[in-house]
Amino acid sequence: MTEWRPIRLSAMHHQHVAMGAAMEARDGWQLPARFGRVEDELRRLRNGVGLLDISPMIKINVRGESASAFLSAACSSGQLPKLGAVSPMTITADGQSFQVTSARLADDDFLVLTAPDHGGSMSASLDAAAEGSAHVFDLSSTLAAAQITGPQATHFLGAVTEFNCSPRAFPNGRCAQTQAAEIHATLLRADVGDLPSYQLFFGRDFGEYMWEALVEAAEVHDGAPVGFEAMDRLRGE
Amino acid sequence: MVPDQLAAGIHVAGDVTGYRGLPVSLLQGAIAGNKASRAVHGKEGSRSDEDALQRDLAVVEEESRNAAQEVPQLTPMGEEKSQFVCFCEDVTAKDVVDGIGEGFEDIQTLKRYSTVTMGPCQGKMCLKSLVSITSQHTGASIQETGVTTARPPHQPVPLAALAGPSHMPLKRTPMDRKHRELGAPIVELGVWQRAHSYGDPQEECRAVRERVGIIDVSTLGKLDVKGKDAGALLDRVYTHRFSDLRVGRIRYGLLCSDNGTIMDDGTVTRLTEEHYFITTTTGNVDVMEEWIKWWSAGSGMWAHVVNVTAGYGAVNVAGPQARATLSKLTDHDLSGPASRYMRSSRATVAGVPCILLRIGFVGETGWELHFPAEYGEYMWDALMDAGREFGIAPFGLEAQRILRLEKKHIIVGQDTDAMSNPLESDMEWVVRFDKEDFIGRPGLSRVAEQGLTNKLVGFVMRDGRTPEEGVPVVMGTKPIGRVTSARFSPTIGKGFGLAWVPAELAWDGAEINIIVDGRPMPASVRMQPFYDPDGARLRQ
Repeated sequence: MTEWRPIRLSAMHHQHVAMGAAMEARDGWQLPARFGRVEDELRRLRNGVGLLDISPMIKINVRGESASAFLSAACSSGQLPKLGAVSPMTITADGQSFQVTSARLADDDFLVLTAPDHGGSMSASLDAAAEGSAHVFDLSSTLAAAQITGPQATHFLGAVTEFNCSPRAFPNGRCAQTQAAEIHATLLRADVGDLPSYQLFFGRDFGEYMWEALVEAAEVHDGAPVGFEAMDRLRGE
Repeated sequence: MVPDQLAAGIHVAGDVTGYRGLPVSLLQGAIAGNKASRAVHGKEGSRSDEDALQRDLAVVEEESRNAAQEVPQLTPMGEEKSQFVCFCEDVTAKDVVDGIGEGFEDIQTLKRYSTVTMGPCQGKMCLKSLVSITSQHTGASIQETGVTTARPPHQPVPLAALAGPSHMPLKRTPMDRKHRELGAPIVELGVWQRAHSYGDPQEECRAVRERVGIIDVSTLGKLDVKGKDAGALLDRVYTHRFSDLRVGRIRYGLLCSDNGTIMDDGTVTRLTEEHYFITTTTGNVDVMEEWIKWWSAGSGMWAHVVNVTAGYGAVNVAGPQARATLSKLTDHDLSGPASRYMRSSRATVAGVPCILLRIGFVGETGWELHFPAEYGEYMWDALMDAGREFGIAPFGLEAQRILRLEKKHIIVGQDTDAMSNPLESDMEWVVRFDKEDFIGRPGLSRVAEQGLTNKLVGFVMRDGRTPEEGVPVVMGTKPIGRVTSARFSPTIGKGFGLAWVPAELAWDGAEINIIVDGRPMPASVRMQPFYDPDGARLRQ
């Protein structure tokens, strides 16, 4: 039997290629490793704003009246977030444990996020364990995502959303459903060290449109797309 | 009309001040910029410069004021008919002048009579023109004419609308690049970009009928409905019954509004006991998501609806060689007995997890593959490679429209309108009056009791010419119906389509006349599909 080698492409793949990105395989996806020199991208992340395509993240929606009770019972460490907040948790479901970030979008509506390399089976495990009115929907393919990081990130977001992202209104560890570039989006603030950092989730079908709007807005804030190598180094520091 | 009471920190320049002309605007801009800069930085050093600017401004303002005494001729006499004054309310200059001629010379009563300035823009775009025209045609000055009274609620224009970047959201399918690489003309279907064709649509039709074709159908709306009451919820919003649908089965579904008119259609697949996968028409998924959630909310039902349209790429593989093509990519048994018409299965195709729906919108043996969107380009290439030896061809929107028309499959919104119901649309088989209450039942019961007035039928032109869509069906010179879809069929070699006609003409062979190039041309009514009326090819 033929050995298939499926290739996963982000909705923004061709825009990365057009901008000269060096594409490399990671977690079964073709992703931009760098757009130029990694040092330049690191400088941009530290001084301006960098845009990173994080579409491969696993994104699970848990909703329903008993969603909160279900996730509480599955939580083996950490705490269930309060409304509009984000919390790191360990979830154990169907005999497997997953390190996740959980965002509470409404009383009965959670977005559970984890890295693609160890979350591939999380949806099936949660689905198998869900009971009562808690229902699990895998939105990993439905949502594209961008991470917006740097000291100018908050100011930059003002150009793409009317949502108040000021530190007082939207501090680290918060989440909200809003509009960006006139389409529905979910926004999380998850700082990287001392640097403000946001994760923006939006429909994959709007991927190219949204990325174009983000890149256009970034240009006036000393911002540009960065590759995963620069972000890895920043996180390593 | 001049903003002479500004809030602190707001400075204006340009026409808004009531003065026209570049010299005035430049000086006003310099002064406004100076003031704004001083307010931000707190510097006083530039005040002497500003005084000089103010002196210059006084001179050019006086010149501008003198020039402004002449009323601008916004509407040259004799050309008013096609000149729109009010874009919100569709009022032309001629309408305004006619109103004045009928005695509504006062601008307040003229406003009420003509509705100018009463639309959503609240006069922002039309008030100035109205005042100007009224002044010209009553002989009163601009000042004597005055302005209309604006009343709350007042809708301010967001600054972002004037100065922000303009966003035109567009959606692309996961295979979008493949279509562009193949040189397909791209058409906009709502916010979606779709491939119209890859060359000759008639040849694409032949490829599907004789060999195998693939079409990107990722734009189909897709909803996941989960929960122990999911079946009951669907029974409530669809005219058909779905709680009794067996796992792995597919059923066509039609949704009606409260009054029984058609809202949308698509397929409903039961993936597990508590999980249904729904497809909707391309442009209607957001409305359907909201509609189903609306009827779910407060019902006490345990069911949740999530829009997963963007999450799945979708390709329809259709034609006599569809099975052979797909069999090269999967170990899953696709034989007739194992993969029957209107059945679904989960299988790995080219190493990608897929939902396979055995359905046939274009009327051939075929499967609709739904798979994670990130594999879109890979899957397209895999299918094209596998089908090469069978003469596979991609087909676009135009070929799909011809092929579905040959099967008499309707497109909601194209063949139906806001008044169409399923009984008159020749789809009474999809309405289950024997089940409990459903949305639209009272309206449909009334239609059934009163009898049908019109019916959607197929037609074939006698002389092979193809009418335009939307042209009337006539009896003598009297319009009695209209054509909703029309194409030239490569299969039957004639112009054909769907049309609304009086119910008494809805029988095979009935003679009707359709306007082609301004003249009535004879056509015959067809009640059965034009192609494979028994569906034998679908079921192979």
